[in-house]
Amino acid sequence: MSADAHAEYTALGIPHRKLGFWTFLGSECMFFGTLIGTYLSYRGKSLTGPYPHDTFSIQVTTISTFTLLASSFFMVMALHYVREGKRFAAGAWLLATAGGGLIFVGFQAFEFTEFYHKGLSLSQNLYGTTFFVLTGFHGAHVSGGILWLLSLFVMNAQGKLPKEKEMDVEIAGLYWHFVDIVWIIIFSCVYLLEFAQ
Amino acid sequence: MSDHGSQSHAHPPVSLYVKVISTLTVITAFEILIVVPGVKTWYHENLPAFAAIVVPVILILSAVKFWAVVYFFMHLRQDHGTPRMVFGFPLGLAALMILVLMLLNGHFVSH
Repeated sequence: MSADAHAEYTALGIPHRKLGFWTFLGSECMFFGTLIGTYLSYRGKSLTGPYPHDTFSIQVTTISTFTLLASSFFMVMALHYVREGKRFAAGAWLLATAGGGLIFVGFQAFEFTEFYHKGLSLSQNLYGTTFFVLTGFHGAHVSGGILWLLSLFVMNAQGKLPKEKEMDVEIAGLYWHFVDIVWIIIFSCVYLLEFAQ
Repeated sequence: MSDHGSQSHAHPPVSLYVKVISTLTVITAFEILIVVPGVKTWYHENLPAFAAIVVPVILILSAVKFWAVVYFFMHLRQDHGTPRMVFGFPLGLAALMILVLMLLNGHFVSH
C-alpha cells in the first residue's frame, strides 16, 4: 500500500493537506517579505544609536546560521527514516532537528539580551523596532516548529508514527525548511549586508 | 478520483541530501568569508571590481541556497504544478518587493 493511500486528494492530484500547507507557506512568504522590506526601508535611518555596527556579532550569527542549516538536513533524514519505517532512527533525527532549533533559539535569546544591554530595545530607534519585530517573529516561528517536532518525537516514541503517516512528518518538514529559508534571507539582508557595506 | 500517479515519486537517496547540505555549507562559509574585515580590506585594495559587486554576489548566493532548500529538501522538484504556483507566485512578489526596496534605498552599493 502506498504511503499516501489514506490521504484525500484534490482534483489536481495532490493531497488536500499538502496543497493547503503550500498555500499557507505562500502567505508566509508575503508576511516575511513585508517584514524584511520594512527593515530594509528603514535601514540606516535611525537618528539615535545603537546602530547595527554597534551590536551585531558575526561569530554568534555564524554559529546559529550553521545550526539552523544543519537542522534542515536532520529534518530530511527524519522524513527519510519515517518513510523507511525505521522508528529509532526517525526519532533520533527528529530529536536532533528539534535540538538544532533549540540551539538557534538559545543563540537568539543570547543575542537579544546582549543587544538590550548595549541599549537597543524595541522602542529605542527604527533599527531596534524593525530588527526585533523581524527576528522576533522568525524566532517565534522556530519555537513553534520545535514544539511541533517534539510532539512528532513523542508520537514516534509511542509507535503512533508509522510510515503510513509520513505526510504528518513531511508537512512538519515543509514548515521547518521554510523557517530555514526565511533565515537564509534574513542572514543576508540584515547581517551580511551590514558587514559587506 | 484523479490519477494519483502524477504526484507519486521515488524518494530521493540520502547521498543527494548530503550533497545539498555540503553545498549549502560551502556557500555559507564563502558568504561569511567575504565579509570578514581582513578579507574585505584585501579585496577592496586588490580586487575593486569584486568589491563593487559584493552585495549582489551575496544576494545571488542566498538565492541559490534558498532554491536548493526548496527544490531538494522541500521536494518542490517533485511536487510540480499547483504547489509551485501557490508558493512561487507570492514568493516572486515578495522577492520583487525586497529587491525594489533595496534598489530604492541604495542598499546595492558597497562602501
